[in-house]
Amino acid sequence: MTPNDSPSLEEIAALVAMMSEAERRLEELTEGQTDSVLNAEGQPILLRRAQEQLRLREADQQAAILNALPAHIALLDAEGRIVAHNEGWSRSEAPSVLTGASFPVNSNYVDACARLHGTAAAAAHKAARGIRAVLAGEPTFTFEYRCRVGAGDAWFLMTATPLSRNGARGAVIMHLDITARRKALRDLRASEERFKALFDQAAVGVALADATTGRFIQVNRRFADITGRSPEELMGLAFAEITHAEDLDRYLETMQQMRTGDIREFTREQRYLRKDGAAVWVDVTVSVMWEPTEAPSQCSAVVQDITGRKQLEERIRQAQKLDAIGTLAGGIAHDFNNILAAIGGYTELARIAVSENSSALEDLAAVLQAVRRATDLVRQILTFSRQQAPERKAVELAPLVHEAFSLLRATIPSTIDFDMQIAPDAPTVLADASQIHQVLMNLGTNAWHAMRGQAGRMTVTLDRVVADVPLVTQLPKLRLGTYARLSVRDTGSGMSEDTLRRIFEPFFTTKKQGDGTGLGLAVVHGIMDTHGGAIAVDSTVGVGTVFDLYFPAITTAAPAAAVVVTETPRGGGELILVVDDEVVLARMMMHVLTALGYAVETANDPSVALELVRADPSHFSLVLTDLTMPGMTGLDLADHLRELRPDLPIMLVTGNTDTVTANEVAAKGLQGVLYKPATIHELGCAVHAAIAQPRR
Amino acid sequence: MTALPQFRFRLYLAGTTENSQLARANLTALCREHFAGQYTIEVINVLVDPLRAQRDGAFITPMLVKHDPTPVVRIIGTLNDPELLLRSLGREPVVL
Repeated sequence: MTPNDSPSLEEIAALVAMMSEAERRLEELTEGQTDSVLNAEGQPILLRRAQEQLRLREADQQAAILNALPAHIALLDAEGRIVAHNEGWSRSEAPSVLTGASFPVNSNYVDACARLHGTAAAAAHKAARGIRAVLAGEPTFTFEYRCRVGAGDAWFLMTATPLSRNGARGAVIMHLDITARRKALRDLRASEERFKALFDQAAVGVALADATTGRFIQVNRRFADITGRSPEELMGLAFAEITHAEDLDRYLETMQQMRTGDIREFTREQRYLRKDGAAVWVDVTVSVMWEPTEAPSQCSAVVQDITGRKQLEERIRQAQKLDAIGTLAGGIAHDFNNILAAIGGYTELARIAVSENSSALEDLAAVLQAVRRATDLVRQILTFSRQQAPERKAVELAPLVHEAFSLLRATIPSTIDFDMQIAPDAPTVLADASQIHQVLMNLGTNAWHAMRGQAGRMTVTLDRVVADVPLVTQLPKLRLGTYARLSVRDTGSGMSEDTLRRIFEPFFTTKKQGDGTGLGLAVVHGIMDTHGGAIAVDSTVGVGTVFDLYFPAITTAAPAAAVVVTETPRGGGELILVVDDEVVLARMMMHVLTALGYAVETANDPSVALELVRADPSHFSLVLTDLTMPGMTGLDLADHLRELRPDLPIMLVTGNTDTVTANEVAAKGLQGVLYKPATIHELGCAVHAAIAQPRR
Repeated sequence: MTALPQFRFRLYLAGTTENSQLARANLTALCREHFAGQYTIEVINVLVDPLRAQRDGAFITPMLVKHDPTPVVRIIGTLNDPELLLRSLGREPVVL
């Protein structure tokens, strides 16, 4: 620095004056139309006016930028005084209590904040402390605060940024309204939580996986449950690793088609393998999640466990198969019954006709014995085909169980232990006692066969159960309510799943030829069906089998009436009209009834029968009509006959108990129904009773 | 038919300062009106290229130099008087 008293000072002053004069003169000469000159080195020197223009323009631009910001901004000096602020700072609608006209230029902002009272005091004090720290050299201070604005609250973000200006410390203070941002963030969180809850608590399994590798990215609780693994275990696995081997090829092929974009989504039924190795049937929908212009990166799967439905479908298929076989077998059995009736009837007639010491008598007895065996077989077929109406009465199962149990114990070798448990509260059921007896004998025989050649235990239990929703789901034939449960358990060889699937099919047997007809369980099944009950079977190979039979309970028990018949009643020459389209059967009936002391006329056509009665309605004491005839059924014929003579006794004869029930017969006012094949004794009793009945 | 003479201008200016921008605007307007199709303007910012300005002998801004047609003419200022400017450039204003 040149000292004041230096002789060069005068020269400097003179040069400055010259510069000043030179610039003034230049302006004068060019009428103020120039803005720069180039010195001797060629460096441009802006004239003062041009410099000022540029400075002002730059300041204008910066101010415009600051004012356009949606924030309240102020520049503080080292003491915390406001040096300058943008327009937003002082705008009257400025909502923050920490900005506005009450904090003008030159006021000390930090002190003002520190002194503030009221609802925003805490925020203001915190701001003051933060700014002081920044002015003291700390880095940027940031905090969010809330203040009351009008009727609601607003949120602000305040930042204090250290600033070094021309060597002096200062700070830039900025308040930014973040109410909308916070609300958006809160809404987003709430939305995320809602979707997370939806995801976690969904009743269907949901999984998110990498579209390329199939590795799981996220799974919900239900998905983990279905696949028998924890969500953590699944994170290390891919879809292919839990897919059943038989479904894997198809799955991989479809996923490839998805990756190439050929398909976007597929739905199918397939199997997953649970951790324990069990297969679980699922209905799965997989969709790829495409990102714009890029290959698929993730895929989602929505999975429902349909194992229960699949099992149900299988049971229904089995039931339909049994129904079809039953219908077929029943149809054959019905025709066969008529043939047996003829053979049996004529044989009995032949026995009456031959002399007592004839050698043919023994042969005829053998024929009758064979007929009885054939009839029994047909009866069994009709039972499982449900064409044999049971004679159901209110019965206690306990005495039946005792009786069957004693019989089995007497027949079965002593290597088998017997156990019987009968609950005292086992309910009364509506059942056909002889059929229940047959069920017990069939199951008991099977149990014994399963334990043949080894020691074992057969347990028969009878108790009361209340069918709840799980049981009804397992056995769709049951309804919610009380049942008597009859269980037959053995410790025998057990059955494989394949065998279990077929045990109720008629003629299906695992026994040696000649040991069983394959009808035993089919008959049990048929009997349970006609009783409105159900069967559950549980069997493990090498451990044993248990059959649970469920009979619907009845609330009131009615005592069964006992009928004791000693000998066949005979007629006194009453005239009976026999109507049957099968000539052989009509003739046989005529022979038998004649032998029993009745007079008989026959008609092989219902219309002929009608004409005979029309000719003399009081002529006949009884009409015996077949049910199934061409042109007119026995029931229709009965209606027409009643028009001719309302009190004419009429009795139906039928081999098919499904077509007409005793109740229907009674409702029609008929005198009774006789089921073929019937013995002479049964026919004699029925005819006698029908004629003896009081007239309507 | 003789070809119209081609006018070749160089304008030296100092960035976005007021007088320089005025000179540029005035020159462009004048050329469009009076030298349509027969002029080229080269603009030299002395703040960017001071050596070029020194070489060309441009010692002040704004300065217009007409190189063609000869003679070379130099004009200092904002070029705000079109009549004076046209006379200086050797073309009388057309009076209708």
